[in-house]
Amino acid sequence: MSENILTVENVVKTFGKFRALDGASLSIPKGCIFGIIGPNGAGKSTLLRIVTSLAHPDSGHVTVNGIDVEAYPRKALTGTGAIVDSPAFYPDLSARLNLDILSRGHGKKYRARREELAEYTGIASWLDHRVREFSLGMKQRLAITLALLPESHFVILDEPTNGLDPNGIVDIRNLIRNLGSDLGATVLVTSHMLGEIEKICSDLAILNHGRIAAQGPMEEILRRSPVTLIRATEPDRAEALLKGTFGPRILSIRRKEDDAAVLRVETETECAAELNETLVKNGFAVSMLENEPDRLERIFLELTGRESGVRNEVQS
Amino acid sequence: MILSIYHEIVKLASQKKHYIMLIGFAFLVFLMILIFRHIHEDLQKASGDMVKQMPFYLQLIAPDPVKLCDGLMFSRFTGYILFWVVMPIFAFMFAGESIAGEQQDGTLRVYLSRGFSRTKIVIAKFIAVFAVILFYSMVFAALTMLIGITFFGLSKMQITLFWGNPGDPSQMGTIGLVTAKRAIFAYFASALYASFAISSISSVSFMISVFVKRMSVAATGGMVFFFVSFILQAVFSQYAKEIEPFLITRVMEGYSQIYAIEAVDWSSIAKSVSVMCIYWAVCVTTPVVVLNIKEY
Repeated sequence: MSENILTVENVVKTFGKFRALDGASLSIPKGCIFGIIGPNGAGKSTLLRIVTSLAHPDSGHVTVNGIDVEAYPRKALTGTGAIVDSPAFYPDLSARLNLDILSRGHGKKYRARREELAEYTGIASWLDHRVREFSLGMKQRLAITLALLPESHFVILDEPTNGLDPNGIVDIRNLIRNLGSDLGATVLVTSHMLGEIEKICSDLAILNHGRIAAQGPMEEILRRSPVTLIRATEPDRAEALLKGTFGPRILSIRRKEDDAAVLRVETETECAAELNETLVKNGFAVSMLENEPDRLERIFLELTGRESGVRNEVQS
Repeated sequence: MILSIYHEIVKLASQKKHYIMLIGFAFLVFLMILIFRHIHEDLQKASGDMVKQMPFYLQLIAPDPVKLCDGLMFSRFTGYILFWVVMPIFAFMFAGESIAGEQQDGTLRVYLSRGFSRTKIVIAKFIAVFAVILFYSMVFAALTMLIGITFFGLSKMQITLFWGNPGDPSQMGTIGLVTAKRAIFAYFASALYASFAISSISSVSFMISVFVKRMSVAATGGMVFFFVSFILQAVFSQYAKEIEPFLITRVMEGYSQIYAIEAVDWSSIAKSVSVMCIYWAVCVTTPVVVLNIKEY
């Protein structure tokens, strides 16, 4: 059995002259909550469609659990539950019937799992209600339940918090985060909402222009060129001191756009403590020293926005 | 497969179209009752004159023509409109809905993303549409007969009808009498045949539904095909002799023949069934192929 639940190798997909995926490669280890982020048109949906055999790649390979999706789609996708795009159900049927029909589940064991999962996702008391009566948040819960049925261990969710109110976002976020630990499922989530991805996922891939711009554990990606915000006396002298002391370990020092008294220090590796020590030892009073928030947004923009100019499309 | 067919039937059964269908049926029956009452009254007024004009053998066995115009005759007349006009329209809607409707609602993607056999999906959908058509054909036939008998009674002898072909002197209209039991059997046999014929007609919508994203387009496409076929057969058949045997409306002719009771031309029925099979084969195979290669 493969250690990775999903492997994508050099997948190319074109629509006319547009290259939606341009040699995308990634692998998702079993048991993680994996996020894919990317600007509009980066190829997220196309990638999900290829993974779920809704579309065929021009070249490259996709394997789920070590089985080629193109060659054996049924075998590969057994045990995979996917909600691509917004959750779609039969509005005039009950939630229970929707789950039965869309998962093709049957039998005593299936019914027991259905009830158990409905309890877990918080829709147990709504199973006999028609889906027409469901709010968007309830539909997302139903979609997650469906994705886990009949025996799914790999769940693919496309923009699961889209259109939800803040309470709904928190609920769905907690639900997805616990899927791995409680049910042993591997989850693949795509989203535009970088803050959500940062809070939910253990691993991350950034997709840009049909290619994977970065991939790895979330902590590792966030550790890339960290930025420390420092408010110290005499910022000009402090800047010169830090440059002289740390040399090439400092990638850049700039003034914060909205507060010129604050130094924005971009370093190769995390070294906030060393920066603080150097300044204090040299007689500077440091009134503030913190890691720059929205790190993922900054990394995302560095890898995507600066090239494509899509900053305004990003919601954090 | 049985589970898939069951699920497809559940989906079809949950649709609101059924209410429209039931209202349409009720309205048709209501209108036919009004019309049939008038026919009854006219027959009663002209009863004596009619008997004089009837063939000698009919005068002997049916001295009262009003009695021949009974509940079963009502249901046969109503069935004619029901199976030629009303049922095909609803069949187009159900068949058009089956794939295009799901594509429109996004549920088809959910299905296909789970790796279920696409061939099975198409076949289950087609069988479900046929099951719904069969169900409504038989239920509507039974209901119409019951309503007819309730309003107009049931006479022991039933008149057979064969309209003939005005353009073909060798196929003159004929008239005769059979027992009520035989007429009822023929009536349900014709309803059964009609359900098969309607399913082959609706398979055109079924086939179109795999290419389009809107069920209304698929349903309309089937209707257009049906009416064009109808016009070709009714008006231009002498100019289209090569394609005439394959026209979709041709398969419905078997219904009229079985319904006429006495004048069943079994070789013609066999030809119609063959044409039905061609439509089924083409219109089910195409969605199977397309669904297996198309991207969603």
